[in-house]
Amino acid sequence: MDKIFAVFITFIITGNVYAQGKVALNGYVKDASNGEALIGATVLIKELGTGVVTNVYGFYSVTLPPGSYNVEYSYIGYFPVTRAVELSLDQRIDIELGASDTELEEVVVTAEAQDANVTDVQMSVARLDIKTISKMPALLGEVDVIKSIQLLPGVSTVGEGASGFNVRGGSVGQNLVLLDEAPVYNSSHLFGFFSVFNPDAVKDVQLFKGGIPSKYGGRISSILDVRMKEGNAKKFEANGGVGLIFSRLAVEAPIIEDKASFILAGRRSYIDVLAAPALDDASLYFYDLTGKINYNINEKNKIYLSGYLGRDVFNFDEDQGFSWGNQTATLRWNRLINNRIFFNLTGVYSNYDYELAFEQDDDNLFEWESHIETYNLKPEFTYFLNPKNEISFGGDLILYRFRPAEATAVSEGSGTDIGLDDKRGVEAAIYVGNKQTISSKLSTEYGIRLSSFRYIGATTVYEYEDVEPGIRPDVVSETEVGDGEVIEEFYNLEPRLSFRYQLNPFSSVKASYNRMAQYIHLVSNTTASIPLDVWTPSTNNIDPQVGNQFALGYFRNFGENQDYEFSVEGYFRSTQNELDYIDGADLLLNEFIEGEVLSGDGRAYGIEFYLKKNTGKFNGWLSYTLGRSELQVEGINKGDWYPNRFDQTHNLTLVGFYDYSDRISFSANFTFTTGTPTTFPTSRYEVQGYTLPHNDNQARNDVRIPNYHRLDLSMTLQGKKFNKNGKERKNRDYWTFGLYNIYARENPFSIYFAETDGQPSLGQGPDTQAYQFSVLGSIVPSISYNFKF
Amino acid sequence: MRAIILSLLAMVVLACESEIDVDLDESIPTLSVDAFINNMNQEQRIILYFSQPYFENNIYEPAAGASVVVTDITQGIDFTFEEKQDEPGTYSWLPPSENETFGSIGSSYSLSIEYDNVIYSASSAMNRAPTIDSIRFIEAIGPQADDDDYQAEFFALDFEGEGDTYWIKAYKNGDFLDEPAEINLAYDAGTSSGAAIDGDFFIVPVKLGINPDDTDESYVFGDNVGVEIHSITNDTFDYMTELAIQTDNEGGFSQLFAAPPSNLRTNIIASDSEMRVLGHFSVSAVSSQEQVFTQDVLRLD
Repeated sequence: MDKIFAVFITFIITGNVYAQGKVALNGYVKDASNGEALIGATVLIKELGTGVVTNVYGFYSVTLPPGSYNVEYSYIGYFPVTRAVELSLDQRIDIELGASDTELEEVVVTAEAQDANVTDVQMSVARLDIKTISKMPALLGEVDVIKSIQLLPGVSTVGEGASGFNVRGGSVGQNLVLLDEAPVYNSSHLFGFFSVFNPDAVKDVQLFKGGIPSKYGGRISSILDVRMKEGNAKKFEANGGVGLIFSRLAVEAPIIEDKASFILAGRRSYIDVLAAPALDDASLYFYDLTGKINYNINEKNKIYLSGYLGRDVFNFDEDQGFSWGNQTATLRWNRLINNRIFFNLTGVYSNYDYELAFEQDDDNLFEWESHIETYNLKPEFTYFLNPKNEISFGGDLILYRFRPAEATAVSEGSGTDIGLDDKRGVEAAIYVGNKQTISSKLSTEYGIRLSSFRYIGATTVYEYEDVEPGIRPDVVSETEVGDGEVIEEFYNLEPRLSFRYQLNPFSSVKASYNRMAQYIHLVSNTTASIPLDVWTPSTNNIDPQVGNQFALGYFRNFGENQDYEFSVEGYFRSTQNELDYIDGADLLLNEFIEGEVLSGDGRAYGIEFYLKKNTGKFNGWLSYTLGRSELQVEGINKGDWYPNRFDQTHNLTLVGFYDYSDRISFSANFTFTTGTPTTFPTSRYEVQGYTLPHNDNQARNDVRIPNYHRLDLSMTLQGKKFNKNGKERKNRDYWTFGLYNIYARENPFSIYFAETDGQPSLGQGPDTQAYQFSVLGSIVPSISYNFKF
Repeated sequence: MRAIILSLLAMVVLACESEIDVDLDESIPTLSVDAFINNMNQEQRIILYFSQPYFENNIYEPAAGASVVVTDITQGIDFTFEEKQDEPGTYSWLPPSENETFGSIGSSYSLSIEYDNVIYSASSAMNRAPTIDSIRFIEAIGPQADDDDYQAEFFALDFEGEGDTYWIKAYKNGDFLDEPAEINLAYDAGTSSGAAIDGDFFIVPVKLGINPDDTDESYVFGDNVGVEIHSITNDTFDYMTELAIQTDNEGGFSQLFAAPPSNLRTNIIASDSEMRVLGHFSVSAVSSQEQVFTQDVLRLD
């Protein structure tokens, strides 16, 4: 550890010496139409042939010897701007890029220099901008961030209706989902049909599948980083839509022009309104509200405040039902400490909770409420040392408060508190990383993260007897631990390393390694994650999950204007202390949940192919993943490796967009995945009249349900741009027509076995039958109307 | 609860379910033991047979010619279960007189089966079962309930002291409610050890867990409702919990939230570790009560 820091310090010191006599050019790159910061815009110093990209706040800084330069600023879908700069002292240049008006022009603009696929050191990153997301065919016409990323290589789902997503064979709980840096513990509305991210408020979505930079940590599979729009800084803008499920409205406007702006976006479902007669007293709806304000205090200081509030409500009548939702708040302060050091301080609050109530009358009721609260503080420094080194370092401090159950049962007027103890944890990490260009061919990003977790009181600490794995252990001791007392602590050193070697201007090879530690666990043994799933900390009985991932990839751009990009990446991930559960595990409202958990090893490996056509009237991508994800847990499957419930051998996606005319465009996507694994019985026997299935091979997940495939189409019809009198309309609108699952395939979600209803014939036992359940058994048409003014 | 949520959800989306044919791996016929005995004044049966391929609905192949003995370890009494002449594989013990019942509360029991030169053994205990105070009726609640639907509820006080476990069986006009969804288990007055409610009246949903799962079958005036509380060991509580999970496949959206299929763990051990065995041995004390549904027992708020 000391050695590594020594190396870093040497770098910084030598870098400083080296940087002497140089000057810094920095500033922000923004969208000219609305003042939104452009993330990942390219700043190219033409004379040197090197460049930098803007960070997540649209900031860039490059250190150069004094002199005259031509600096080109470019970004996908925008006209590039070139500035001649006479650099003798540090200089700040903020640039606004104008969006290309039509799709056709977009082609021309993006045709050059969009070679990040090949030149960027980062691999295993999937990035989607909201423009692309909003063009894809979507279930019931509702554009969805999470459904869209499932179309990228290495990302999958167990089926429609399942919450979350799986990355490179990781489980749903191994993804860190961040909305403006705040962790979102349940990213779904209506179980898993829609995600909580309102597309009107989302600017940029990045999914890190591997080669994860040292500033991120806390989950072993992936980081989904969703960034919200800042709000139009130039003029009032409203976006909205009316779909079959949601109605949406987003307004954004400057508060002080070019200094402060806001966005406020809301959505609400209205099934309950439409189905009111059928629902009696029941209510069934979900909503979310997303907002953000930013304020430029001065050239060097900027603050952002953003928040999310959403809830799903299923009430059967006034007294019973259940609901769940996330609340997040993020406060960020950007400060330019000097021309080379960019500082950001983020404070985050996040809460996920659910409530369940079942009331017969005042004397007979059952209420249960569960929370996970997070307080997070993240200082982050970026030091733009010189054009060859960009150093970042910082810290991450997270306080968790798990409140698994505040519950009361009242029977005949006498109430019993059946709540569970709170649990607390402190996760703390420091990290340092450097993005270094070693030569024109070789660049690297490396870093290290030291993370720690403390499981602290006040709570009750249990010790369990040592039993054969798979059997529920008894509690052998119970200790009350005082407030703040450390019960157990863990440390992990997480090295991160990525390399890029440029073979020629069109192709490169990249490799990466990362080690990740995860201290909190999503406890769920159901096929799909459910809103009632609980998060639990690492404790004296549950160790942190640790994962190591290696990835190697080849990246190539080709075509006349390099309008095709291609990549192939192989990955191997091995993990320790993955969770599985004893048979018959009782995971809800159980004080002894640690006794229900088994721990095992995981391994996942695969190869991902990605071919994308960026430009032209016809564009889109092809993604194919060949993969395997397995677990080995003592007490399950005779202790042998078995595939995860979400393991898919083949996963193929084809996404196409076609611009037929100025007003009409089409999109289509096709998905094929291997059926997920399950367990079938071999035999039956009977106990007390119940027919029981039994697998004589003691196997887990040794067979597969049939393959999944589906084709969706959608058409977008833009409203007229001009009024009859030839004047340009102020408002823009468009209709989207969609057909989901166009050939109405009954894709299996699961196959299950049960005794059939009805009396068995004389001299025979009851019949047993296999059933296939499909979440969608038919074609789902949709229509939505969207507007902007 | 879950079923209610999901039935609401089902209105929203277009799910579908179909019967399918699947090929299963070869089945190994395995000795299975169905040994749930109690202290009711009736014939006690232990059934030995062989498991069969999952889709076969033949009468199970009996395991005849075994010797079956249950021992009250506490009091040192052997109960020999004799194979019935007309029902091979069924081993029975009959109370010697009308006033006598099997075993006594507080005793530990062992089961010993000798079959084909292998000894199969298991243990259990007869724990206390609380008396049922009354069974009453209320207007049904919940989203699927119509105005004139009624539900039965029973009142009984769990014993003081944590760790009493029960299987509560209900009968409608003498017919046992035998659907997997109707399995009603209690841990003390609540539903699980991790959220203990001790020494109290059974809570919702336990006390309401004596109603038919299918609301079309709800109790109507004149129905006779029978309730039996079977004391079970914690081990049997776990077994029955898992049995309910593995057999209660209602399909539909509950499939999204289904636990992975897995084998039930038997509490029977073979002297020859090569020999496999399935099933469970349980001893219960039973308290019961019956009530005919009339206006007199309807609780009005």
